[in-house]
Order: sequence, then structure tokens, then C-alpha cells
Amino acid sequence: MSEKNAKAGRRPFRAPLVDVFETADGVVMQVELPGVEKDAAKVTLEGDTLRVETSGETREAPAGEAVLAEFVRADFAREFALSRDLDREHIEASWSSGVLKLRIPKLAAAGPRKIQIRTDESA
Amino acid sequence: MSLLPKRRAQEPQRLPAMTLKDEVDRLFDEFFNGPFLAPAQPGQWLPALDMSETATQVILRAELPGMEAKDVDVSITGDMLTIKGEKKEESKKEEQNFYRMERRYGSFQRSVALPSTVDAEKVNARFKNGVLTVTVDKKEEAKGRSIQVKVE
Repeated sequence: MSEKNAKAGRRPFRAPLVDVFETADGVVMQVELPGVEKDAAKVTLEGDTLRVETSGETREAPAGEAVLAEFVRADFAREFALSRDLDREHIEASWSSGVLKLRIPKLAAAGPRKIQIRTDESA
Repeated sequence: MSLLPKRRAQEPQRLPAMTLKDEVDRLFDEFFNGPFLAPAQPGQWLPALDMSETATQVILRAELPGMEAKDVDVSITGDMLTIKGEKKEESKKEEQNFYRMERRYGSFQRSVALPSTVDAEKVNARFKNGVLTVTVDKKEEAKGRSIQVKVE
């Protein structure tokens, strides 16, 4: 099923587990990327789409014969649609113990704006 | 008949979530590619394990993202290795609405049979990037057991 995600020559991807929750001032996402080095994880933003992916052979099997193999040997990739009230300029990313944490603050609320009515002086 | 114009329905807020198509893709992906670990009861979770052996060692790895070494306990009894611990949720300091909660939490325990007799004294465990790697030396008499298959 994941073959369709693979572009020519690229290995299939696996979607990481994620917790998304809203706080008073923004959104927090915790993405589980076990076994991935911090430098191998990449977060990109294109328009409204936030993409988290890992690259490189970070989940290789260690030396020896496999006795039990439950780890999935595929890179992680997942995309998220950001809602419009989030501030894309100030996304913070931190890393701890195989979990990538993204904090996306909400845009400062633009209160009701007063609109000036100009009189047309032509007449 | 009401003369008042109908209020335009409020546009639903776009949640920071995946589209339905992505959701279905992910479900299929998880089903076919994820580990087939059915928890004994709902709410339990089991970490994925990898185990391999060389001529002299047995290496076990466990996927424990977001955990710390102090939350995990590894013990070896005879030919069984047991790994157990608790994955704690982050303290709820902030008021939170969950949009998506896929990560598994709670206590877990798994026991696996080791492929060979090991020396429980010669164990090395390290935790890196959410993966616990336990390396155990095989007992001297067991070291020869990885037999090379020669082709005639």
C-alpha cells in the first residue's frame, strides 16, 4: 500500500504516530520518530502544508542474524494541513528522545477593525 | 415565513489534521507495514522489538520514543529477557484540546525467549533517540553455536 508513496528509486514511507493538541496560544504536535538522528529529520512548510520526513538509512538492522524483526525499515513521512489562524513564521521545533515536538503559535487575534468612511468630495 | 436573511453558516475551522484520504492511507499503511501487536486489553500498548544474534552476542532493540532510561526495566532470567516499564504522558500543565491522539502510553511488559544462553553479567544497555539497545554476551559454551553453513 505504501508503494504508491514511493517515487522512482525512493523507498516506501511510513507515517509516524502523532499527538496534536491545542493550547491557549497555539498548537503543539508531538511526532514519534524513534531511532532517527536529529539531523536526519526534516520539517518543511509549503503553503498550508507542513511536512515532516526523515531520510537516510537510520533504521538499519544491527549486525547478525535476525531473531525477531518488528521494526519497520522505512523512512517516516507525514503531511499536515495547517489552519489559517496559525502563525507560520514562528514555528518552533525541538527534539527529545526520538520525539519531534512542534509548537505553532496562533496569530495574534486581529480585533474588530474600525473602518473609516471617507466622504467623496467630488460633488 | 421569516423575513430575516438566514445567517451564513460559519465556515468550519480547518483543523491541523490530515485529509480523509491521508487518514485512510495511513490506516492501510499501519495495518500492512506496522507490527502486528494486538494488545491484550484495550489501552495497553506493546513496543516493537528487534532481536538479532551474532556469533558472540545477542542484541535486542526496543522502540520507546519519548521515554527515558529510568522508566524502563530490563531483566534476564535463564533464557528469557523481560522488558517492562511505563510510558508517561507529559504533564498536563496547559489546558489542552486533543485533535489527534495516536501515541500510545501506559505500562507495558514483554518477554522474549533468547536464542542462546547468555551471560547476564555481561550486559550493556543504551538508550538513544528513543530506541533502547541491549547487548548481551553469549556464554562461552554457547558462542560456538552460530554455525557457518558450508556449501559443498
